[in-house]
Amino acid sequence: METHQDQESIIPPANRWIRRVKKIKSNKAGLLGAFIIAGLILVALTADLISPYSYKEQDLTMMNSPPSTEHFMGTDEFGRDVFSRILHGSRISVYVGVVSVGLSVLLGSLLGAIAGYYGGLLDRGLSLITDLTWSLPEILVALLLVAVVGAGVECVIIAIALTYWAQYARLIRGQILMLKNEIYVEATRSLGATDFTILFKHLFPNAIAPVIVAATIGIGQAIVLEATLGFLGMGAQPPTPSWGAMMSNGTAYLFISPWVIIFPGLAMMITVFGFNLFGDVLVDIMDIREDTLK
Amino acid sequence: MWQFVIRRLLLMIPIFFVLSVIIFSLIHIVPGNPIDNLIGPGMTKAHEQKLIEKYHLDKPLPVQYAIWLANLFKGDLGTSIIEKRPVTELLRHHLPYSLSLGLTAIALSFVLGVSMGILSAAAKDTWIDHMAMVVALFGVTIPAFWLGLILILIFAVWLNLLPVSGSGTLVSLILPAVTVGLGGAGLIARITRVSMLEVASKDFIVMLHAKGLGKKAILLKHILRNALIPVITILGLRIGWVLGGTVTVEIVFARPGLGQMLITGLFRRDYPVIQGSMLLLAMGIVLGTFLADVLYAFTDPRVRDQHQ
Amino acid sequence: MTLLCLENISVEFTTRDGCVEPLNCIGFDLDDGEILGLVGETGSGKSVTAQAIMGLLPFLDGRVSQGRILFKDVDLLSLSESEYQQIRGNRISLISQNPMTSLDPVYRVGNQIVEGLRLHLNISRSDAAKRAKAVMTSLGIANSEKVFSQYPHQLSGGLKQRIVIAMGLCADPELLIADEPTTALDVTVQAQIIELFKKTTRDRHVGLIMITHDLGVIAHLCDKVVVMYAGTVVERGDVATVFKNPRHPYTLSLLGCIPTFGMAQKTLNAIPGNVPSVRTFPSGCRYHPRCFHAKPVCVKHSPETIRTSKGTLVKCHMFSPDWRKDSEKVG
Repeated sequence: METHQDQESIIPPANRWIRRVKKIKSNKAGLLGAFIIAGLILVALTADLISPYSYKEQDLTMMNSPPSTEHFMGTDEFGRDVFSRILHGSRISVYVGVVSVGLSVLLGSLLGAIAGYYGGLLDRGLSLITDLTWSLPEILVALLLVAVVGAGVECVIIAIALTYWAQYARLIRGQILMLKNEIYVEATRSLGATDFTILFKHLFPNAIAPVIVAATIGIGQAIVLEATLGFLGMGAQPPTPSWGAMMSNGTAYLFISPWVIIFPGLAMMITVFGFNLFGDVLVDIMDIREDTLK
Repeated sequence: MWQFVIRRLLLMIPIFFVLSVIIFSLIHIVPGNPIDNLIGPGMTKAHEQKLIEKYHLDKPLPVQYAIWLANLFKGDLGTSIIEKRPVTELLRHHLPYSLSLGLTAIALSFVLGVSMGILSAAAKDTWIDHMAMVVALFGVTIPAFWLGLILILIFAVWLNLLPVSGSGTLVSLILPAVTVGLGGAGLIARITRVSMLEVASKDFIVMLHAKGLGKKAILLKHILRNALIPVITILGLRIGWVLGGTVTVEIVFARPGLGQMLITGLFRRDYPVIQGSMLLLAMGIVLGTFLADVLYAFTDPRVRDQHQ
Repeated sequence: MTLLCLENISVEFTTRDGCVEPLNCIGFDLDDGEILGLVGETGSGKSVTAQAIMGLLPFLDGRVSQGRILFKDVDLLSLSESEYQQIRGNRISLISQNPMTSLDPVYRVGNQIVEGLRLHLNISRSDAAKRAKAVMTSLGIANSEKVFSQYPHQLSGGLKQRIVIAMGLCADPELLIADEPTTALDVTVQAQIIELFKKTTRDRHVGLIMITHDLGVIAHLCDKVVVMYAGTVVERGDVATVFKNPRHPYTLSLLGCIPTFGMAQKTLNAIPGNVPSVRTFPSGCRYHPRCFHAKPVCVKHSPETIRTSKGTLVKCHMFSPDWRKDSEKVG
């Protein structure tokens, strides 16, 4: 494996990426994942154009009607079209997933890099906090944080970002610890490079690959966490459609109109499945050892 | 070995303090005041002042923390502001529901996950392997609350086999435990598979064949035993992740456990209840991690020696 | 009586980039209680030969593509997996090349010996433990009682090697295959282990195939020698004859490579070039790129195996009647 990584680092970065794209093309599961993600983004962008009904248009004559040719995923307790609401709900999911994971990667890799690079007491302190945050169930941390910052989409984003950073901090720290003793770092330092240059110009780009993978899978997890918070009534507030809130409202009518719960859940499952498939393939094409991701 | 256990136990003390500080301080930044919920129309300013004093809400945060901690060591976690009952009493009432669910779910995820992992590794690259891994991936990705709802729909509503909710009987434990357990099983199945395949490629496995051992004996006695070591480590690290599902699942199944106590507390801003349930949940997870660590040290003779 | 006989064995491995054939038509035989040395450079196919006899190839994505392996007149290749299991570790034992990685790290070494014993001999756990300890003591493990209940990582390389040997010996096999059993050890320990092999095989009348690249060991220990090169047997016969009258150019060069203590040699002979890798075996005689005598026929045709006047077998064109006629040299 080590020799493998050595070979990898000899290949110029540009070629490395070309090779990686080629690898995705030859992997069916990865392609499927990529299609699901692309489809989701497309739906989120064009929800207004492609949805057959408005997401808030109530039709009280059509309350809780089962799937039919008119409403092929049925309607909810206000007679709103479930399919249209799912399409619009993807916006919140994508938005929360991408932004919250983006923020947590930023925070996590910064703290992880500093801890790994400087070591010592700073590392110990940061690592204790990181490990504690990481070992607590994300739903507990997120609930606590939502309680602090309040309900609503932005608050959920902050809560998820503050829950997830630990995972990326651990990854980056481990990578930096491994890389900082390499000869080329010593060489750069002897040429007079500052800590900042070494850390962000040399170490960071080499340490980021496993984080990209973890973040891809993390977006899927964040979407689930957002939905879970929404389900508990702490996510996006009505009338904004979010998958979690849709299912939360649906529980009261579980016996009458189960489609209100089944379809948003399926949408979410396919989404998360897509991110996971794509992430699993990234592990393969970026030549990451699986155990670094645990 | 016992030295290691004791050292690992001592490490839980600082962890406990850090956790208690985090939980306490976060809750007190929460905007909104529980007293507001208590003030009825007929209540005077003097009454309100009395309540504030009773719950020490007028004192600075560090002092409040010190009081809370001191009381904690006396076994007093305060009194629920809304329900007017001691938090310890509430915890004693709710804990059994969460404990039974959590333990059953972990046992289920372990048994189910390891069996799926073994099956998958033994039938590597066949349709059995692919199927098992797709199921495992679904287990990991399906949100617990949704799975719970779907299981209710299938087994309670359509098939009418199991109760929708409730908490008293053993039967009522089945659906919630399966819901939480499937997520954990997916995770464990994936790790078991990878770990078993790695062990299977080691030199000593060929030597076991050379000894005349059958495939089954090698798989179950040698490969599995070696492969379980990383599985236990990761289970220890992610025990909270598995148990996190219990919180939402308790809501779905209306099971009066700690999760439900916590969520209700959060909505009512009932500080002592939030602190108490959060702390107990967190300590349960820390304890679980500790047990996994010790188990890990006992299963791997190399690690056992390191600690001697 | 013939204990083991390999006839025209070829082995194929399926890898990600296609098929390779690390053994091509090899053959040799061995009598009861005889010691046979299998010699050759790294990559010549010695270990694959051992794996083929043990029936381990299916577990390594390989298979015997042609030939027969007769063990006491039974063709091992015709056995079912469960019949083979009755033989492995019982009537034929393998002592592996690397003692460091051939023990299960999570079981006590004693139990690993007992496991094999109880698999093949119908004895109780305590009897098996007694027997294991006795074998350990006979192999020069001083405090076998203590070592018995230790884990592999707690033992030194030498001790681990002795455990691996004990595992091979304790079921009283009729044939023992030792794959470079001394490479991981100190020179002094190496000598002890070799003596041990000599003593135990003679005492118990066990057939032994000793795989090594150490010609000194062969001269000291073996009755017969088989010289392998790039997946073929180039020369074989009894040790004294082959060492006194080496015929194949490769055997000659190998013997020339032994530094003789006390003789002030100007240069240490080394064979120019390397052993070709299994993917790039040369055409014709596989030794021709490194051979001083090579002619066009060596490039084109694989040589026949020919019996020499001394009774040894050699696979080289130089000993065919047509050799003189073809006088053109290569290179």
